[in-house]
Amino acid sequence: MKTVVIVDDTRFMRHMLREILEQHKLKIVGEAQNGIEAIEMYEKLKPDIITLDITMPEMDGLEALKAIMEKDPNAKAIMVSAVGSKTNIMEAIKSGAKNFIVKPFNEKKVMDVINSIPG
Amino acid sequence: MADNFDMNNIIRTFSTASRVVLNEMIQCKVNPDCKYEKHESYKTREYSFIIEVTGKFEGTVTMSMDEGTALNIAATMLGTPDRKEFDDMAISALSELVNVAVGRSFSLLTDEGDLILSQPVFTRGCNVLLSVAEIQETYLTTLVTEIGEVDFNVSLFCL
Repeated sequence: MKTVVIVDDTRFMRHMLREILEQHKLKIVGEAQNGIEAIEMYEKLKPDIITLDITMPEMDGLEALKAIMEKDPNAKAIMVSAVGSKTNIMEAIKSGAKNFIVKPFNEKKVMDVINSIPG
Repeated sequence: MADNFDMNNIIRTFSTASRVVLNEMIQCKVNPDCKYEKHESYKTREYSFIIEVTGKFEGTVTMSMDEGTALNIAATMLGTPDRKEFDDMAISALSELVNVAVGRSFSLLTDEGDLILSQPVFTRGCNVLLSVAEIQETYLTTLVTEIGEVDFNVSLFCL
């Protein structure tokens, strides 16, 4: 069973992602509300996949992604972003993100992205 | 992108984009009419979510609705049809709804990075008068959905 850490400052978005992923037999091993917590949680839990919201307080998802990729170049990070963040999405891909989910999302969109991640 | 500040264009874009977002996130029919009105000020419905806009445009956008509509929307978004209480999770769900609606609207009107949007602030109370000192006019569009009416009130000026 693949393990996932969900990172989003919005409780509702964490809830929605958890519901979808658990329905598809993925195990949520942690939830974080900002980039600092995300880095700590990634190091501690070493999930198969980490989903990172881009816009978050304290430390955003892009900074967290860069820190995680520096420590683990094989990390499988998926960015979550609203429509209109093209620059951020390009920067995330250059920094090593494997794919991205655009808000608002539904079950199919999320699982298409998750299933696109090899391994 | 909008080189000139045109509130009619802004509110039209806002009405259309918000309608698409409501349709996507609540999965219900939204009246296709794109009507909007100009007012000197706006009085809220019972549940309101206010986003402050800074950057190329400045002001506020408020999403406001009655209690029943707020509960219906939260119930739909969270998949909890028997929801009776407007709790923290419901506030979080509607905050995300207004976040996405406002973000989508402005992404059609301005270049990326032109605007900074605050986190939504939730307020409860009918007939709260909202006005911004520098703004003499405010624009209201009401989206009529199957589960209630949702006001989007836009008060902006251009720097």
